[in-house]
Amino acid sequence: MSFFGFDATGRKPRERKQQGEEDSLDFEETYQGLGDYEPEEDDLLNDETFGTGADLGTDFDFGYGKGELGAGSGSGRAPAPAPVSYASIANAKMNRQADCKPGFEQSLDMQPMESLWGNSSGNQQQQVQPQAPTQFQAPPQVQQQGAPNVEGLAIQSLDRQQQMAMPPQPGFYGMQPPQNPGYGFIPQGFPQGQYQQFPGQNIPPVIPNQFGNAGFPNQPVNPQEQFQQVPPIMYNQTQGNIAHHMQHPQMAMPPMQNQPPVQPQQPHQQQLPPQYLPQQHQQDQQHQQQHQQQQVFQQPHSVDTAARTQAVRSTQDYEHSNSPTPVPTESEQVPTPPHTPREYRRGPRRFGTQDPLTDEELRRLQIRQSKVDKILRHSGVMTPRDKDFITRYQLSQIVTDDPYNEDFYFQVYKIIQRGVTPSESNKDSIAKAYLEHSGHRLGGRYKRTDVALQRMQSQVEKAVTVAKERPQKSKGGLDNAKEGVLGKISATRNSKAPRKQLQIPTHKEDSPALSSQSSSALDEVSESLQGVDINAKRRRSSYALSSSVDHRTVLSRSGGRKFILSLIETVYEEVLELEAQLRSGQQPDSSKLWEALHVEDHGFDVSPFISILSFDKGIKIMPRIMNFLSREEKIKLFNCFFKELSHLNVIVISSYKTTPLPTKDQLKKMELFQSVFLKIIVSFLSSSAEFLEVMSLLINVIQNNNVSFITTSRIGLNLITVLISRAALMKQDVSRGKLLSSVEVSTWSEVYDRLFTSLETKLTAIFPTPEYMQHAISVYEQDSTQYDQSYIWQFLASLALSGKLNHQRILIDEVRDEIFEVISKAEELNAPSQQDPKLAYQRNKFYQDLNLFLNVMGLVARDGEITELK
Amino acid sequence: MSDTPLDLLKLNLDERVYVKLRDARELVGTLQAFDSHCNIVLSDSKETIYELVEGDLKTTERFSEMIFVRGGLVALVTTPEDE
Amino acid sequence: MLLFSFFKTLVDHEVKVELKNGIELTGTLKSVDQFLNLKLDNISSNNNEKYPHLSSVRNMFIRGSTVRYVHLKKSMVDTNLLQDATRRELMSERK
Repeated sequence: MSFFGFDATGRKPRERKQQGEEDSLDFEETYQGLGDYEPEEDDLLNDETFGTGADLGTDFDFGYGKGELGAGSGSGRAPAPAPVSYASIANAKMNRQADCKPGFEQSLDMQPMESLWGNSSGNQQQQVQPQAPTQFQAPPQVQQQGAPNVEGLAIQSLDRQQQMAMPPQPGFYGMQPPQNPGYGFIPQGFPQGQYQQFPGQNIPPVIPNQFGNAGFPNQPVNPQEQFQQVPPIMYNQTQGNIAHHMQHPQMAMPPMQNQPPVQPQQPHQQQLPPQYLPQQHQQDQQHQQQHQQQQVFQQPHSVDTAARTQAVRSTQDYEHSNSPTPVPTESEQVPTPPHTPREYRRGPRRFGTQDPLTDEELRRLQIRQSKVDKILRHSGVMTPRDKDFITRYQLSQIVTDDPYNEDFYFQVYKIIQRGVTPSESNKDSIAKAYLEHSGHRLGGRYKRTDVALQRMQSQVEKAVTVAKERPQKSKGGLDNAKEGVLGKISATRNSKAPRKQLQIPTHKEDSPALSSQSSSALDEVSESLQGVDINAKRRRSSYALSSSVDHRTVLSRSGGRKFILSLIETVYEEVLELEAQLRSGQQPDSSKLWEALHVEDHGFDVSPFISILSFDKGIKIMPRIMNFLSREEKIKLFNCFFKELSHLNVIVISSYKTTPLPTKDQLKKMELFQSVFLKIIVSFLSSSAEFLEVMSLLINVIQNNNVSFITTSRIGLNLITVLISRAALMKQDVSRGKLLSSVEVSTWSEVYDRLFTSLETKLTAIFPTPEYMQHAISVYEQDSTQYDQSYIWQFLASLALSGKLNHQRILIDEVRDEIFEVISKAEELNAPSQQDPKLAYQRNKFYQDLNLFLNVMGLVARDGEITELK
Repeated sequence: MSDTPLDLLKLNLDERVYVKLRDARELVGTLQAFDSHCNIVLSDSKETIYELVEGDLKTTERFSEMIFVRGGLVALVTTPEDE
Repeated sequence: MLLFSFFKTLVDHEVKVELKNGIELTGTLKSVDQFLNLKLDNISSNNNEKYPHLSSVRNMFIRGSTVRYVHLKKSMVDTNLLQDATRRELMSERK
């Protein structure tokens, strides 16, 4: 079924005809060739725009032809392009345009098409020609020279110079992200700068087609462009004058930049090259022909160029605003013919004296060539401006003007590692690092690295200023409201401070209840005891003697774990701020710090300060706090510390009575406390404590604590030892200038008496149980087989030192058994072979520790006996 | 009291924390660093991976001296039960 | 910037990166950026049989978002400084 004669059988018209059907329509017959379009008058530049005769294929090798593209794809293409870098083309084009400025302006003059309007065309041509070549010959400067004969001479000299010219190092372009430094030197070396010659290059002949359309910037095809890009310059130079004349109007076509010449964008560059197709074999007539064609086509496309000009100009503005210092483009655009063999690089040197390349040199050459090839394969894909932009952007992300704020960890870490403050500024180090990383291979000339470094530094500084302006722009104005399609996007709310969906009423009364988390029976006991009005000292001591003083209880009595942790963090913040203030030279204000320590806060049963010290990080921050506290504040702090010693977590965990089996973590904590806080106390006492202040500290210990309990803890015993020995030292220290006053002396003896009384009959308690000692050794995992009792004997020694004779007698009496035990243990170690160094050491140590105490009283223990010390 | 959740997390610096990740993994370690994305650095950490292997729950534990955890995976941070 | 700063100090150290898909890669950290993308050199994969396609790769760029863990050694880190840096970061964020 069909209408309109539609044949639904799907047979081809021919088939149908063959089968003898009438009325079948043959496609070929009826087709009026509507698809074979005539060249349309209105689409004049189609071929130039879209190319002719080239099979584009679908994979492009943006290198220079060495990529492994499918063999099938590009079969219809032009022969593999010579390895040419876009960079060189860019340079070429750049220079062209630099030279062609006046010509460009002329083309923009909207001159009427001469051929249409009469015979002034000939004159025009004449005018154009002399101008252009002269520009050509004075590359960086756009000058106007006069007569054509000057031009002719110049061209010849150019030719000669090219033959001698040393091509730039091939790896140059691709290797350096900061283009400026590297390119600094090439143009200086060679007046032509970019006009390098590549005589050895094998430029395949151009398809004549090209030339038919030549002259239009928007020329076709990549493969052809590739090999066209380098030669243009060369060809122009090696050909006759007319060639030059030919080219320059074309050069004038592309939009010209204002001075200073700024690199145009790549696409524009690529539009130019096809013009520079001229072959060596091309005849002048052909050129003439072209030229006329070009003239014809010139005017209609001046509109296009105008448009393009606008585009480029706007991009230029963008460029200018982005790069306040114009990039020295000439210096950047060094054509880098990838295939320039090493011979060229050594050209001038080897010119005339060709030593045969040795094997090793050959190998080096090959290696270097392969590296160069690798690099150059993708060189020129980005323009130097693009690379510069990327570099600046990356730098702006990395570089900040205030490294300590933004990059704290890294900066301080480096300082710590180096152990010395860096002499160079942050920016310099970045510049250097970046430069080293990118490699400043500037031909091995040392001077250049300085130049490179300077340029790098300037880049870094530029990035810093950009980075500085960036946050300020956004900070300015609370409500940098962004206007979205759906309304304003408020800046007062962000991811860090989202609008609250729920308003939860917070009751202050709830918090104390929440903070006490513990619910054990012990806590009930503790809490029930809180209300009992016992003498403060005894209340605290009773806690100490209970089976275990729960850390959580103590915490809850000082405000709660969260509260204490927040205090610690506040302290940290204050310390960090103060340290930052110190760094910037301001005078630190420690009032907030002192408040955060809550030393003088009597609102809690247990001072929060003491609870702060129950956390490792609280202990760790103490030395740094000391830098910012006044002497009075330190004294208050230590007084508070000694007063509430019993509640100190380290004391509790280091006492064999309350912690008979310490864990490894607890032992670590004890070590930390010993090394950090004890040191602070000692240094304070030795540097700035008065005698009476030491007295008051001792009084605080005695009055508010169960001294015997304190002595069951290693830390506690150490603390008391420190105080007593400091007092004794002060008393004996005649160099202080004045002896102790009678008040001080009497105070000391009274304090000592009270101390002694509190310890009397309980002195053996300072020795831990054997089980405890055994356990401690095993947890330590140390080599020593014996518990280190030196701290005990030190205590006894200092006690004996400040005591009178009867004190000493009592001391010896009470610890007599322990003394003999040590001696016997030492002698036991004597029995086995004496050569075992560990045992000998241990034996000696026993005697050493013992004699700490015995020597004070004029005795000495040796070889199993106690004798008088002579 | 402008206590954002991250401020509360800050209180636990240098303390043992329990981190629950998105795919049946847990970590317990000492909190050394974190940021607003909840990227976390833990020291002395124990990672527990829970898997179903042939219908049974399999637990794998791994230890790490120092570990960086990408914030996108973090579901929960709190204090550990036993420690 | 905190973790970026942290990783910067780890450049040229050997780290083990565990990706979200389970691949574990040990290599030398050569570079890091603000997104914590990583560049590792001299990769060796811990599970070669399971993921053989990495056996020929020596250097690679890893997108930060694909990382689950980075395993380090304690000696590479100054923990006190790191904690302080975290505090500073939070302080500056709050302002």
